[in-house]
Amino acid sequence: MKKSKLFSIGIISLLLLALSFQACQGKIGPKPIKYGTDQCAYCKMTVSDQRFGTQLQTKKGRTYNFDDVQCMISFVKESNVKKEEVAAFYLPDYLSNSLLPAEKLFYLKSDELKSPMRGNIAAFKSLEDLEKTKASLGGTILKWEDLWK
Amino acid sequence: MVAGMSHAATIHVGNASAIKEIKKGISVAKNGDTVIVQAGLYKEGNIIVDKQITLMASGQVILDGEKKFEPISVKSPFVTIKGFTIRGSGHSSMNDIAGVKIYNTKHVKIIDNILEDNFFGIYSQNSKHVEIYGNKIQAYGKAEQLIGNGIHGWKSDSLHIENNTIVGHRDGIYLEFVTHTKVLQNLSERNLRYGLHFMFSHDNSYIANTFRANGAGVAVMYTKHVHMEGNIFEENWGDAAYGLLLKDISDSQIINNQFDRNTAAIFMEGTNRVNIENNLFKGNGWGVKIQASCMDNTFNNNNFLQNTFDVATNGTMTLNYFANNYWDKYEGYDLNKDGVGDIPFRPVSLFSMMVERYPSAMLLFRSFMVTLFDRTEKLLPSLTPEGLKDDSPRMKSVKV
Repeated sequence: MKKSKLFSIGIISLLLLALSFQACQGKIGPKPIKYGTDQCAYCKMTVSDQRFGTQLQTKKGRTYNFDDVQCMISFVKESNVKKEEVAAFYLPDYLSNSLLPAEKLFYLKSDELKSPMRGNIAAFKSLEDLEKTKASLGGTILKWEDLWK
Repeated sequence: MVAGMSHAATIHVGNASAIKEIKKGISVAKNGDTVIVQAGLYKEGNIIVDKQITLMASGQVILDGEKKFEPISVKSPFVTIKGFTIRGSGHSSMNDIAGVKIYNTKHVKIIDNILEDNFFGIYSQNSKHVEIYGNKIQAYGKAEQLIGNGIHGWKSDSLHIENNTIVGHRDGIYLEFVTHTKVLQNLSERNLRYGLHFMFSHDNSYIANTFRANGAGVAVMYTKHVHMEGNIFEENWGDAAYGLLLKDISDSQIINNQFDRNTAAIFMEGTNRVNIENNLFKGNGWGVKIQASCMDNTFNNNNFLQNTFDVATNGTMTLNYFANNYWDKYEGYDLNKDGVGDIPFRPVSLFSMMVERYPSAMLLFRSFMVTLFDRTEKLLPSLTPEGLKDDSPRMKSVKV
């Protein structure tokens, strides 16, 4: 009786422990940015334009929000968070504004975009969408790696 | 221009006149003429003013953009737009559509208009000598939506923005690459992001404006030679809100301003050679937050009253100077009765250093241990920056 009670306590505590680790892991994927409230981790401006607000997640699970991809890149280049420690970079699709992993997106650089910190880079989930916007605003197509040069 | 003035005509537009449309009125006008529009509601899409004329409203003239068009586009020099109610401009994520937009020109006056529910209010693009007086600009933006700025200047020079009221836009006044500009006596209130925001806009002055309860206060960035005098920064509350956020500002003056009830009255980062004098810091969470990246800023003759923290910093080295300020937390004495305290005042408390590192430590504020720490630190400074002190603190507040 006593043994089994101890055993069950052991099991429950193990389960709880496992659960708490689970909680640390958190959800995978971008966390919603609170536009008009959250502050850019780099330039301190309020993130208010959904077309340009970006997010970085570290391997430890911490998230940083930025009002412009330019700020996110400078933030990492100046080693506030090292690139090796970054789990994911998220950028918004220019048309739907949903946050998506940076590597899968297509990029347009055009001064006509007038992004908050004048990085003037927009991300698109499809090349077609990009071409349409490019037709009206002009600019050059970039890859994610090009943004780091 | 002068030749045109000598036989200037006045053209009347309205239901009672021969000319019923504003566009028609403009098309028959010559340089120097005045077009007077009679009261009424006009839905004419995009009205382009491409002649040197004065366009005036007589009575309440409403120009409705029907949420599709830009009500007025000014594309000629020497244009005056006066007394209209301009509402419902188009909305776009591609172009910046405004109630009144001024394109690549000079000597334009926008006076006493009411702008309501437009994407951008008044927009000066690549223009010089634009006067924006006495307009009332209101929008009903929400944080989740895309909304433009009340008065927006881009690559412009010599703007004169005076006596306007701006409510509910993204930024009340936003200037980018704008030089030699005066911003006087405006009221910018309850805008979603900043009351005033400028970047890369050198040699401008901001005098006697009121910035109240905006989403994040006022932000000034990447600019030299800013003159800010007699402004009121109040009620800018919030985690990321500042009375005044200075980022990469140099060689500037901040004089005679009033900072009342803000989360942080002034937040400084990368700011050099700024003279902060005769200001009142009252009832703020933080009076001044100085990041380690700031150098050679001087704080003279300011009053610090009823702030939770007067000064906070994240660095140990301090290259900023405090002198002759009045601090209501000063507990020193003045034996020689010269009005100046005999021992220096250190405005950075130990606890504020702790909060800077561990924001959640704020929970312990006003607890017995914290008070004890602060007392001990005052006697034997160890963690607070040694150099950050006012050697001549005033015994009485400065008269401002």
